[in-house]
Amino acid sequence: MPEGKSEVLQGTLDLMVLKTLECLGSLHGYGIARRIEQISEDVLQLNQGTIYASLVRLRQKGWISAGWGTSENNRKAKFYAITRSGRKQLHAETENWERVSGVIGRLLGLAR
Amino acid sequence: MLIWLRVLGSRIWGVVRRRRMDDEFDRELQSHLEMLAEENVRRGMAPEEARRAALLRFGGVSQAKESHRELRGLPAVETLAADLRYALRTLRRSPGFTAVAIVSLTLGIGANTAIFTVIDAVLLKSLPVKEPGRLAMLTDPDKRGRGSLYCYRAYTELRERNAVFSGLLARSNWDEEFYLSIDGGRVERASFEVVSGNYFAVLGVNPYVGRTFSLEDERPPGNPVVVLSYGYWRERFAADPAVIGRTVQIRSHPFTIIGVTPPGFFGIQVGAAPAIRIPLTAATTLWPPKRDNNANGNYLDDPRLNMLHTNWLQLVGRLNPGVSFQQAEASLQPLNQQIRQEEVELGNWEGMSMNRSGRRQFLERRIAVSSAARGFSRLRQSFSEPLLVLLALVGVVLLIACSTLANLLLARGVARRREIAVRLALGAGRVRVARHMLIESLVLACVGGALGVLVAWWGASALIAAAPGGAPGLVVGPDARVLGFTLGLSLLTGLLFGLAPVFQALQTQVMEALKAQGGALAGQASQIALRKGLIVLQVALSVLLLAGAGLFVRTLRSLKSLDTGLDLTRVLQMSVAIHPYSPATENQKRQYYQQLIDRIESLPGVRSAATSKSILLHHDKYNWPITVPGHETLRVSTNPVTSRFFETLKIPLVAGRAWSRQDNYRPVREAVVSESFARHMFGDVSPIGHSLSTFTDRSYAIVGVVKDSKHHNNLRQDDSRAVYLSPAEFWDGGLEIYVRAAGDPGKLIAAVRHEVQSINPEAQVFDIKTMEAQVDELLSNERLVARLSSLLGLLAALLAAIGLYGVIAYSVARRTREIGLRVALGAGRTHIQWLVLREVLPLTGAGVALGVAAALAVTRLARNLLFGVTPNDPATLAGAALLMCAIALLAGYLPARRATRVDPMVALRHE
Repeated sequence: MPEGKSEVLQGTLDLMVLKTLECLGSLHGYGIARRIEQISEDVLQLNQGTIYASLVRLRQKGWISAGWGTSENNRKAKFYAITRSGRKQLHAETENWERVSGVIGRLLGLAR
Repeated sequence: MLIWLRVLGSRIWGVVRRRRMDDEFDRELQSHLEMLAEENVRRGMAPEEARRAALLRFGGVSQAKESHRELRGLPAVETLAADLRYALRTLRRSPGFTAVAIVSLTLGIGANTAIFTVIDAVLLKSLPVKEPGRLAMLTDPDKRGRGSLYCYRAYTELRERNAVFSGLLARSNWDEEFYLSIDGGRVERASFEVVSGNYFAVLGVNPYVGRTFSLEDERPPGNPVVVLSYGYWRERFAADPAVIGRTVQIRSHPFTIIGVTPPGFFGIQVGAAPAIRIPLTAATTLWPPKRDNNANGNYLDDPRLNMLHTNWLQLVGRLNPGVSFQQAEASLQPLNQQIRQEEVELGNWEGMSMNRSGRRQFLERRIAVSSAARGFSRLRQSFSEPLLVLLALVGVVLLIACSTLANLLLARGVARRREIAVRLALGAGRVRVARHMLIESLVLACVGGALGVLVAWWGASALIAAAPGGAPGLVVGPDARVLGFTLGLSLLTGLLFGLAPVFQALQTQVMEALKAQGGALAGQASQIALRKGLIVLQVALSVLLLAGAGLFVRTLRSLKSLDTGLDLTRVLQMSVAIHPYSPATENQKRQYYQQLIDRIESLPGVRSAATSKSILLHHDKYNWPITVPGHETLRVSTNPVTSRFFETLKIPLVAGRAWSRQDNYRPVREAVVSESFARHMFGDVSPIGHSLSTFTDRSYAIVGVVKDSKHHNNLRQDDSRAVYLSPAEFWDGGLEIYVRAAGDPGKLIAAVRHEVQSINPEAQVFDIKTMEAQVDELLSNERLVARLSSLLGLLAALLAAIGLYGVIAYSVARRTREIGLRVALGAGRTHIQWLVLREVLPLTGAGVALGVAAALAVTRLARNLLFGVTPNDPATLAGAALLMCAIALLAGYLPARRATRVDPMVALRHE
């Protein structure tokens, strides 16, 4: 049930960016933001500008790489792509998330 | 872990390329916004609306930029960098102030660092050997830090039978120079150290060229080999590696050079750097036990001759791993007892038998083990007190400089009030503004510190050159510890004087400051109080320094004018020795000296001449055991001299006579004693007619008594008991010649030198100087302290005066209106001057009172250094107080005079 805007934790946003890049390959900042909004069916309404903080963090940790390129509309934009260590991190985090949510789900009696 | 390193690396790169990254991000944002706008347009919005909606959807652009800036770099570093740049700009804008500040900081920090460098080198540094912390010296429990002396036998026993040292080395405890000749060439002199075979092994010193000694080299009779020091090798042999294998002739014995020690190694005595080292068994060939015409065997030249029996070695051991100093000391006691017992049984005690109490004392002597990490040092003993005093003095001067700077900064802060108020009004945090002031001060301090290092280098070298005896092995220069000290001191100094403007900034009232008309200098009460407080502090410290300087100057004066019992004017002194490998017998040497004295006395301008065994007012002193039958044996300063000695040095004869001139050169045995010796031994009875004996067990008849005189190199010491012997059996070895001139003794130097060598070309003379120069050398410490403290005291008073001038001038400027009003109302010049000076008096008074109180409390710490004047000497304190008052009044007088010239019309219009 969409509850309107919900707060998105910093680390979770990073995770979503990584996942997006893994699925969609190389993408620019606007594209990533749009995609995240789409997937969440507009439950997550983040200020699009906030993903840039995520992008800087991920880049500093070496989990994504960046380079300038041209977009579909022949616009110059900065494109981001996931790296190998980024993939590793993503899989580790995903496993962790699944395990944690599984436990919590059981605790809350949600698993059927 | 690696991730964080990577992040740090990216961030550092982000700082370096910050501008480029910011631009790039701008472009990225632009493109994002445009894409958003495009989408909106596609959805059907008008372009204007599309753009606005895009901005909304995006969120805050400037927030995004700011968070990007924070994330990509190191914000703390960048803020600091910005603050630094701003600080440099502001300092550049007031070049006068910056110059004054930097100069005073350079001098203050530089002087402190110079003294610290010397203290570090003399007192603190560990020896440049392997693991100096594990080295232990064997000493007396009462005299830790000065190694006690052992004979060779005791050393070898200790070495073999101890369980706590991995190695125990021995070295000679005297600084000596020998004559030598290299490959049979001309005769030269060099300094020596005589060491055990394991010396280098225990210290962990590897040879730089060739090899060093081993225990094999020490096995009696000892391998005739030598090891050179690096400095000597470079100087004398131009660092030629082919020096190995060359021969060195020392006293006609050939030694082979086998190696060179590495650079930086000077041994274990700080302040000495022996050029050549010999194994101690081999060295004894240099002084064979004499079998002479005097059948008794002549130890007298060098008591260390018979090395088995004489105590001349200092011992240093390397502790086994896991053994502490206390454990070693405890473990060595029983061994020590045993060895002493054996010594007594073998009858060893410098060739003499001991009486019962002496024997008991000897057996009861305990051994102590203390750290040898910093080695031995005569320099340390003689130089450390003056150094510490100087450190205290320059510390005080630095404090004064800090308070002067604080005052200057406060004054400047007042002028910058509007600037600070504007910044505060624009939203700068108070802390940020205060932090900025602090950074300014720290920048000043660090620049002063950096320049101060250069000053320190020069200053330290100058100070070492003024050390007693010079210090050949001591190299001073900026090393890690010194630089660390400088940095720490600079930061501390910056904090000290930087806090004042910080408080000022923190207290700025924004509205008041902005409202103030340009030029109005209404200071806040607390600030004025702070400035005045600083002045009082400065005056007090200056008085303290002036008092100290006064005490040291008077000490020097007292010592210089001390009655030594000798007349030192117009006396020339020199050391003469027949060339060591001359085959001359003792008889021939006696004839030489006889001829020499005769010839010198016949020179025009010479009143009298005499020989002496010991050098007066020098540390070389012969303390021989003198036995008076029926009385005790006493170790007394003994000196074999020719008869005209007393006349040459004007020591008056109070009873009896000296031996005659002819008797100098005959086997006559007579003695003259000093008054205090006579009094000690014989009470009121005249000593004339009694006899005494010394080492040689020969009896000397006492024929005369002379007045007491000082012979030791410590003028403050009071022991004037002395015995003078006729020179009958003491012609061997070197002698001192004393010559009394009718006029200037310096003029005789060339003539005397000529005589020495014309009689016997194998004779050498060195160290010719006047006795007055000798005394000057003795007093070098006192002179150094007196000069420097006077200089520093005056410098301090000057700084205080400048500070005082500043405060008073400021106050006058503040009261311009009031003064103008008074003048307009008819006040006279004197009245105005008095008005101003009235502010000076309480400041000066409080400062002087505080300073005198501090002096009373503190000067007693330097009691050991003073002579002829008590630490609380009222005349000196009063003098210092009056001097400071005079300087302060002068400083206040100038602004007072300026105040009288105020034009009332101008003043009244002044805001």
